Amino acid sequence: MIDCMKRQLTEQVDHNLAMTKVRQKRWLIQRCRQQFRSRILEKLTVVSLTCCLSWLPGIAASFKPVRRVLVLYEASLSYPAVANVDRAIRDTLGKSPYQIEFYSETLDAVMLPDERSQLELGQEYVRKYRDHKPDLIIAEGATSLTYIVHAHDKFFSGIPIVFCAVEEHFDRTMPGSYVTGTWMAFDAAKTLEAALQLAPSTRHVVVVGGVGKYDRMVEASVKESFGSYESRLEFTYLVDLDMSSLLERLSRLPSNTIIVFTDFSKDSTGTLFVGATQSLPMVINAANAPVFVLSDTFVGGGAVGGSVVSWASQGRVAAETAIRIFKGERPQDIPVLREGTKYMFDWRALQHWGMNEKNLPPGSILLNRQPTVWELYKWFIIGGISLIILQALLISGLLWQRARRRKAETEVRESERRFRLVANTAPVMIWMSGTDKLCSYVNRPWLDFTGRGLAGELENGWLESVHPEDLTACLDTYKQAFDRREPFTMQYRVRRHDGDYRWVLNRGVPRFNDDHSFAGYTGSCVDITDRKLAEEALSTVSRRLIDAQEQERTRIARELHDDINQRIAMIGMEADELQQNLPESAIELRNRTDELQSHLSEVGIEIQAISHRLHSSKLEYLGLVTACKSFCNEIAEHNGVAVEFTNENILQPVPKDVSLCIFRVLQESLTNAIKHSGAQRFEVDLRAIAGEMQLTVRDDGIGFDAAAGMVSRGLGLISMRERISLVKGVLLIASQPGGGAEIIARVPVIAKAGTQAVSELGVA
Amino acid sequence: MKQNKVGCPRVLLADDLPEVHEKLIQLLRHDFDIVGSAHDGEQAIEAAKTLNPDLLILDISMPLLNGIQVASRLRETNCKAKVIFLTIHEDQDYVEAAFSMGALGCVLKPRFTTDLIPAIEEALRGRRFTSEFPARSV
Repeated sequence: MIDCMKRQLTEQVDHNLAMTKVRQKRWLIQRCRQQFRSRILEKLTVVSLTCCLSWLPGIAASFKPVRRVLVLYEASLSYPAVANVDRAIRDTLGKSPYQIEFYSETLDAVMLPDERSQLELGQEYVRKYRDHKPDLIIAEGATSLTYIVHAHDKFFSGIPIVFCAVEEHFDRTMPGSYVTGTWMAFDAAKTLEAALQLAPSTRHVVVVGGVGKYDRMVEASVKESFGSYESRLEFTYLVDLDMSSLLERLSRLPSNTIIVFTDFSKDSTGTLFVGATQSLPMVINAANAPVFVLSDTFVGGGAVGGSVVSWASQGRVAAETAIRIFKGERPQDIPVLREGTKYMFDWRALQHWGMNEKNLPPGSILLNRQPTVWELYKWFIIGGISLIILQALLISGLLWQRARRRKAETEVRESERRFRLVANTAPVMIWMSGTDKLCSYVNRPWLDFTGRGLAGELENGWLESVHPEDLTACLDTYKQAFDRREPFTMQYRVRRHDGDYRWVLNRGVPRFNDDHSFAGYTGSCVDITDRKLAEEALSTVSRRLIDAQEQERTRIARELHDDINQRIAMIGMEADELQQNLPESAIELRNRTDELQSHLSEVGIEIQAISHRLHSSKLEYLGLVTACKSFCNEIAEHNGVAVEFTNENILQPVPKDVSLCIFRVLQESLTNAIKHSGAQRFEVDLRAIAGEMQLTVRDDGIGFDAAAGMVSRGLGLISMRERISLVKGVLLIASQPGGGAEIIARVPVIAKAGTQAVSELGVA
Repeated sequence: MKQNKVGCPRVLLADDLPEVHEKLIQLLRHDFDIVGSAHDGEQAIEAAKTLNPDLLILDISMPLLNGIQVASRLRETNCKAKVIFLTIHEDQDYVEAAFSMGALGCVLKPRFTTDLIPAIEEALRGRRFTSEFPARSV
């Protein structure tokens, strides 16, 4: 066939020479001009390089050596695959360091596959380039390669050939060291694997293809690849049908079916189709199953995709190989490459068939993928969220600050409230003044005390209540201390709300701020009038005590001197007289000594009486009841009145301090009563009631004012009350003028460890 | 009165004044067995417990414990000694207090030469004796 083709080509060329003379001439003139221009340009470039290289290196780059490239396509450029190859070759060569003269021709082997058409086209190209030989020929597709290889020796001798987009199954035994290129290797198995990943339930695989030469070639490759899958999948090859039958079959495929589209350039009726733009869309539209493909030009129009060959890549590699040859490499030194496939899928088709993007093979190219809202507006979203977060932080910060301020304000208010509560309930008068010495605050007790309003007390208003005699000293003390920032204490009289002037003790201390600056004074006042009166009363009592002590000493001294001493002197005189005049009669002597003894005994009794008044030995030896009873009898006898003593329930030993206290109260009260009441009859009762000793001294005399009695009856009541309070007891006085008197002393009896007790005799 | 001290009543003396002890010993030594002398209340109690006398001549005014308290304490023990108080207190209250403590005699110190031995004899017979108080006013 090749020989025949060669022969026909030669004849055709000769035959057509005359036919195309005029056209050839015109073309030749045009080419000559071009050639001339390029030669001149080449020479100018060389001259320029030679002359200017040393001093104008920048200009050298703008002059490129010319290389003439002829690309022979198998089909027309209306096929997207061919167009992709063409574009890649032009782009790649355009970037080479050469000025490329680019010629492209097509054998149109799809549209005009018949031998005659091919022969005429071949002759045309031989004729066309006979005198205008290219520097390199790129053959795209198997038909182109076949033609150019056979035309090479005769018409294109010495011209290197680079092929591309030739299916790997092409006869590799072709001769010629001038040929190199890149195989295009379909990989239907990888496409099927990817399809099974995306649609795992697949049971049926329908291979769709046309009856065209290229269609059959791809189909053969697919069939070979699918051989190993036939045991687990059911394969159906719809490759010999007319288009309408095919579409009808595809519209009612069983479930769990996928379609593998090889290529479809011609159906069984001979109708031609462009695979990417005509047959494939028809198949996709008719089929009720996803369509997988093997070529990148088939992806993007509704097919799911697959492991596809790249036509553009074929063109690029061919152009790169051409550049290497231009640079001096020999074709035979450049090994034939094998361009593999890459995964390419259509996102919209995946969505349409409900296939998960995650099941795609790693490194897959995904076309028509609609970006997500996140991908579309990522920066807007990030910016928006950041703004919201920033605003939220800002608002939180402001709210926090406000909450803190409110808390602080609440605390201040609470502190203020607490201060006022404390100040107003304190049992003292509190005042404050500012740095100008003027009063700025007084508490409620102050206002209650003076009976004036707050406005009247502020600033210098408080001075209006100060006693005129104390005003100057008061002001002087205050001002001097204030100027020195020193604490002060002063006593002065202040007019109370009832008009009485009361003594107050005013203490003031300077007040300082946190920064140690002076803030004024704070002070407190207490009414000390009662204390002053008490001090005066105490001083009176002390004086009376001293007086009483002196009186008692005087009395004892008088009794010792005037009575005891006189009697002893008398006894001494009698003894002296007896010694001087001893009676002769023993009887007389006995009588005289008896008399002396009697006098001495009387002195002893008298001393005992004095001693007893100072301190009751009966209380010590015989107990409280006996001592009290004895005292009542003695005083009654001595004063000629009736004293009735009763006692009840005095069982346990009475502590010594209690018994002494009660005995002294009895002595004092009964003596006072006898002295002042004018009564003749007195009742004394001593009893123990619920842990207390109770002494009652009662008379039916003239009575007295109990309050006045504290003063008028001298030491009596005061000393009794003091004694009673020493043993934690109470003294009750019930008396009215004219209504008799009753004095009750109650003393708790709590036996303490180590407390001496006096046993009550007669019952113990 | 028995001259021989063997079988004589055994007497314990209790008074804080040594002079009183001397006078009492002088008065009693011929007819009584003076078994001991105590000079305060506590000594008196200890001596009474250990010596177990027939008679205890007891002063009221003594340190630590007075005579009334000593008599009271001894009454709480099983002391069999007859108690005679020897006191300067010419007061019926003391006499009553003494008898209430179980004493059998109350002798005034100024009258001990005349009253003590009769009081002892009465006490040994289980009878009471009291010195006669001179008439006086308080």
